[in-house]
Amino acid sequence: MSVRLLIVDDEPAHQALMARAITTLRPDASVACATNVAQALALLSSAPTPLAAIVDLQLGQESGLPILSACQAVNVPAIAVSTSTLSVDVQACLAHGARCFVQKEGPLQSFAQRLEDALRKVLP
Amino acid sequence: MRLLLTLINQRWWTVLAATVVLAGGWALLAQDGALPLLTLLAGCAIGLGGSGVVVSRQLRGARALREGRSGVLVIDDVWRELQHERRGLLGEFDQLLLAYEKLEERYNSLTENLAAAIVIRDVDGKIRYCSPYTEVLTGYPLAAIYAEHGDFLASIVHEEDRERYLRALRVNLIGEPFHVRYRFQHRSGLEMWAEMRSVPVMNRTQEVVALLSITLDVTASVRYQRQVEEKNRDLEDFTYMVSHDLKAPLFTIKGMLGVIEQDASNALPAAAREPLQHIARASDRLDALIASVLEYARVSTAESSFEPIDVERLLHDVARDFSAQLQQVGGTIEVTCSTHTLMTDKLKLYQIVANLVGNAIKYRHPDRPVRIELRASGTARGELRLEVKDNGLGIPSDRLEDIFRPFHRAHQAVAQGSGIGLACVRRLAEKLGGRVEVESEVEHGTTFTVMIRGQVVP
Repeated sequence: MSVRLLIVDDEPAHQALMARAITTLRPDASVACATNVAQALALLSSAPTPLAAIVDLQLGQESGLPILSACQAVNVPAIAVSTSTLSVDVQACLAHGARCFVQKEGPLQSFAQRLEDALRKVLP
Repeated sequence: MRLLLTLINQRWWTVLAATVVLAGGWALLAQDGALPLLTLLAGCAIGLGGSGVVVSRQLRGARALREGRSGVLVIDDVWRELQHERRGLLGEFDQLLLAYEKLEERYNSLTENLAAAIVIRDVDGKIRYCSPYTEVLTGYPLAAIYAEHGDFLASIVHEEDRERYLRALRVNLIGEPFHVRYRFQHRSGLEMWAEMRSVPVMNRTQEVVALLSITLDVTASVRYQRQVEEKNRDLEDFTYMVSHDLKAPLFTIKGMLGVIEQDASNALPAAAREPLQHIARASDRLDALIASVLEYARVSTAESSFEPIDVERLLHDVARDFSAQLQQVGGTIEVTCSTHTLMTDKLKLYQIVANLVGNAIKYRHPDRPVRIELRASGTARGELRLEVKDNGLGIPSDRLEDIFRPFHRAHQAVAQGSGIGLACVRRLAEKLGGRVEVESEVEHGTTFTVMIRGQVVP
C-alpha cells in the first residue's frame, strides 16, 4: 500500500532533499509538499489525509508549531525537523504534539536513515 | 582597750593613728624592721576584740590583714605603692582615652568618607542621624533630610518599590535585619538604584530603640547587570541564528552533494569531481565550526545546577571514559584525589576535566606514550585545586596567553580542532566561580590548574 506523506518546509531544496530521502528508502511513498502554514493546514484537511507529516520548525517568518498541533488534532502523527539543536526547540515541538524530532544535518544518507527510523516509529 | 604604737618618723601617719584611736579604733604604726613584732601585737589586739589593726610594709600584707578585720592603717611604704598604682591607673586611663579618641576619629572618618549612607532612624521612622554621604546619594542637603518629620528617604523611593522599602523597616521593628534593593529618584531627577541593609538597635531589655541602615549606590552595577543580561540575550539570538540560519544552507550544500554523488558521480568528468570533493571537505569544516560556535555559546549561557559531587568518582569516570582512546594510542591516566565532596555543577566539572584530558591525548608527544595525571585536593580557602598534567608536546610560552581565547590553537598542524575546547574550559571554570591557569614547557608537557570554589569537604 502506498504511503501518503506530507512534507512542510519553506526551503524548496530541503523539500527536495527530504522527498528524496523518503523515496530512496520507500520507493512506493507518495509525497505532498507545503511551504507555509496555510498550505499545510489545507492539505491536512483535504482528502486523502496523509499518514504522517514531516514539519520544519521554522517556515521563514512563520513557526511550524501550529501545524504540529493541527496534526495532533486530526490524529496525523508528525515528525518535527529542524537545523536547530537547541533543546528549547526540541521541547517546544514535542509539547505541540510532535512524535519525533529529527535534526536536519549531516550527509544525505545518514539523514535519510534517521528520517526512516522516525517514520517507522510513527507510522501505523 | 586601746593600743597605739607609733614607731614611724612621719608626722602625718602619727596624726592619723591618733585620729583612729580617738575614734575608738586601734592604730598601729610601724617602720622598717618592726614588722614581725607589730604583727604579733596586731594579732593580739584583734584577738582582744579590737576594731582592727593593719600593719605591713607591703600592700599585699596590708590587704591580707584588712580582710581579717575591719580598719585600715597604712604605712608610708604602702602609701607609695598606692600612689604608684594610682599613677599606673591614671596612665592606663590616659591610654584608654587616647584609644577612644582614635576610635572616635576613625569612626568619624569612616562615616564622613564612606561611600555609603549611614542612617539611624528612631522607631517612628524619624531620621536622627545620617552620614554626609546621604547628601551625595540623594542630592538633597542634610538639613532637608533632618527637617522632615517622618522618613524623608521613603518619600523619594520609587512608587513601585516603596512598599518593599517600608516593609524592610517594619521587619526591623520586630527585631529582624533586612536587605532590600530599590529604585529612588535623585534630586536631579535621575532614577537610581540603592541597596539598603538595615538592622534593629536593641537596648538591654531587647527592645528595638532605633534602626541602623547602610545604603549603597548600586546604580552602576544594576546597569552593568542589565547590559550583561542584554548581551546574553544577544548571544542567545546569535546562537539561534547560527543554529538555524547558518546550518540551513549547509544542510542544502551537503544534501545536494549527496544527490550528485548518488546520481551522477560516475558521469562526472574528473575535472568536476575534484572541485566537488573540495566543496564536501569545506562543508564538513564549516559544519564542525558551527558546532563549535554553538558549543561555546551553550557553555556561555547554560545555567548551573549545584549539588554535592564526589570528585574522586568523577575523575575516575573521566579516566574510564578515555580508557579506550588511551589504549588505542598507548597511554596511561593516573588519578590522585585527597578530597571527596564539592558543591558544584557535575556536568560542567566533567566537561572541564574531559576537555583537558582530550587535549592531552590530542597533543601527545609522538616519541613517548602519553601519561596523564589527574590530581585533586582541597585548599585552605575551601577551593578545589584540580591539576591535569601531561607529558605532551608542551605549549610555546608566547602562545600561552592566547590558548584560552576562542578559535586560537597552539598546534594547528598537529591535530584537527576548532580551537574552542580551552575557551570552553575557561568559561566553564568561570561559571563555577573559578579560574584556570597553565604552565607548560615545550617538549616536556603541560599542567593545567583549575581552581573552583564550592565548599570542599575532605
